[in-house]
Amino acid sequence: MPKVISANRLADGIVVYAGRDGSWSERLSQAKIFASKAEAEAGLLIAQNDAQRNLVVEPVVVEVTEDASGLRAVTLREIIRARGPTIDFLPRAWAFARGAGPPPANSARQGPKAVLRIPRLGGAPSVILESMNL
Amino acid sequence: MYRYDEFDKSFVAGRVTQFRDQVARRLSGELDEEQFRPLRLMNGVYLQLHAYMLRIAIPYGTLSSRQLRKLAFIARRYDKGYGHFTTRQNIQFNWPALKDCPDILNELAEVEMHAIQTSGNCIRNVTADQFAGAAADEIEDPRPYAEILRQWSSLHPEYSFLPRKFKIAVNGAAKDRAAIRVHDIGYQIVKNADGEVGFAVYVGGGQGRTPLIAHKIRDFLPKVDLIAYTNAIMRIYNLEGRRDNKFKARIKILLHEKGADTIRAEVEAEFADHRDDALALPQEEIDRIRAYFAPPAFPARATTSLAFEKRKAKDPTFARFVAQNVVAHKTPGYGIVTISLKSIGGIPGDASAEAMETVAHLAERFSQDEVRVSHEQNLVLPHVALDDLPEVFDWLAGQGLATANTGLVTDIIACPGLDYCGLATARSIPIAQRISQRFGDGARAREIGELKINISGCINACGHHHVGHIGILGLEKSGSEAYQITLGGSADETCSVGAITGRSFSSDEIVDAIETVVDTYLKFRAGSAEDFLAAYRRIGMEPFKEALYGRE
Repeated sequence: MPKVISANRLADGIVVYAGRDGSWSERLSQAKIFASKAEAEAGLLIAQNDAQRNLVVEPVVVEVTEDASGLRAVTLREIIRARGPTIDFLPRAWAFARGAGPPPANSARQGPKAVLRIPRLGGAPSVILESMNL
Repeated sequence: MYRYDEFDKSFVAGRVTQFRDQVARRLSGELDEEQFRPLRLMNGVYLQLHAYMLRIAIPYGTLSSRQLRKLAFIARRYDKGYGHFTTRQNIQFNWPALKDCPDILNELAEVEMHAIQTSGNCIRNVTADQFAGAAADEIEDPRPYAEILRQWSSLHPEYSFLPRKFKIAVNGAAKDRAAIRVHDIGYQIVKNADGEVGFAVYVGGGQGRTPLIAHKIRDFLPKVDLIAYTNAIMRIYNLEGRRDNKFKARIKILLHEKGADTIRAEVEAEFADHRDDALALPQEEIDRIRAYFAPPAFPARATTSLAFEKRKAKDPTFARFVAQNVVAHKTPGYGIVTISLKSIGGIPGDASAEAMETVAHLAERFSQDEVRVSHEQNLVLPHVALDDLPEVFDWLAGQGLATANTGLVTDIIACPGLDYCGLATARSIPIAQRISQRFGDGARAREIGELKINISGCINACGHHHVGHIGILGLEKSGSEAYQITLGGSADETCSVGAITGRSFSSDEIVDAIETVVDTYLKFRAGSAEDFLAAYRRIGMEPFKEALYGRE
């Protein structure tokens, strides 16, 4: 299964992914993909340098799948880390006031009835989880 | 309310300066994460799934309008416009940047607030009945004693590195609204045969992966001995509590392993050895602290308010709000108003900056400048004249804050769960939202009557599922969320730990399963006067199991 490397940014804690150009991105779609465990472990060593350089905290290897629509985390925890809370958590006034600007990648409000598809490990059928967007 | 003296002020300001320096050294790389983690945790800063989380102490759940306005300001300036009130009467902000945390703590210090004792293996922020100082059924206001314990325990050198965290709650009425029997120490204010007021002492309660109900180790503790006795309990725990296994480190395990009688004897011996030294709590000191919590000068009001009665008679929505969210005050002509943070389909315990400002305004104008936070994650206006209730209600209704569901099936306690929390194994909030929508705000919820549903997203039980009349525990099973149901839990003076119904339910199934449990209760109850808990205690688990699982 392909893998990426994720961490939290030191200064603000926001979820980031090790990118193809050596930088850290808030978007999973920008992450560098490691095809094998050995490659991911080598990538993790580099990421740990960035942790020592005080850019990020606690880098880890995260399993992903890739299909036509792009990269997707596998576990629910990582899906939520990648996409933000599955609930409509922003107060209306706050969301409205900042509606013009792009929201951070990992706190994006999801559309009504956003569906999180979670492929089970081992190729079992997908479990569909509906998020509540009320 | 308690006001900081010079010592408190310089102490809290000193902590802000110290933490500012620690954060700067972390950001510059002088401190690595391993060195920094315990320092940030001592200042309430956690790292969660999406961002840092800052947990701010609200001692014994009491806030002034000024403090609540400051929380609203912080929500807007440093977060995403909202905060989350927790089951320990604290507030958490979910999105602060680390670099901003010293500034936030500085803002808090301006209004006599901080994040000390909200994390780590110390004596945590002391909690109390949210109706303290107002409730008609109160023996005495528990907050002065909670404040005395706070002052004694803050950064106490002997108890800053305990085997595990340590939670104390104080309750002042016969009705336990502070869940003292699921705390490490629960102090229940009681009156003895001579009419003296003191404490019944409960030790070793707790939830988490091993839920245990506290043992009463003393029927009556005179006030003078409050600190000496607490110290004796802490000494025994600090010496004997297990440090080899984090999951067995709480005092409840010590009591369970050694037996309550043994621990009682050890505590009493330690207490007897140190009773006469500097730990005695003089009456003058109690009086000094009690003066801060003296009841406000309530303008005299008629016991019956015409404005209130008239509105109640003509407006059923208002009447329902009063019936559900207003309880008797100790002063005639006044009521205690619970502001539900459980709007139908909403996020339990979340409050927007605007909601906080509305409540702050109402507190200032109508409730002697006081707001309370309940462990059920609601807010309270403790001192509202019945004459003013129609106006207060209209304000609340205008802001969507008048949900009349206190104690009903939709007044759900839920932890942040996997939507935020790094420890969670499943989501809690979406389940709470779906249950809330299923039962709604109408006649059906009222017909069901008092019913507490508590939801935790992992076995650490921050959502108090063990003591929910219906508890829901979110787990991860083969990569998917699964939810276990417990029945018959209670956090009040009849405290009990819920029993597991059987196999868990998927996210898709859980709301139907809860509805089945509720329908089963409605079918078997002995009339509408028998609430869920009473019915469960009478009929037991079997009818619910049968309804949930049939003959599978």
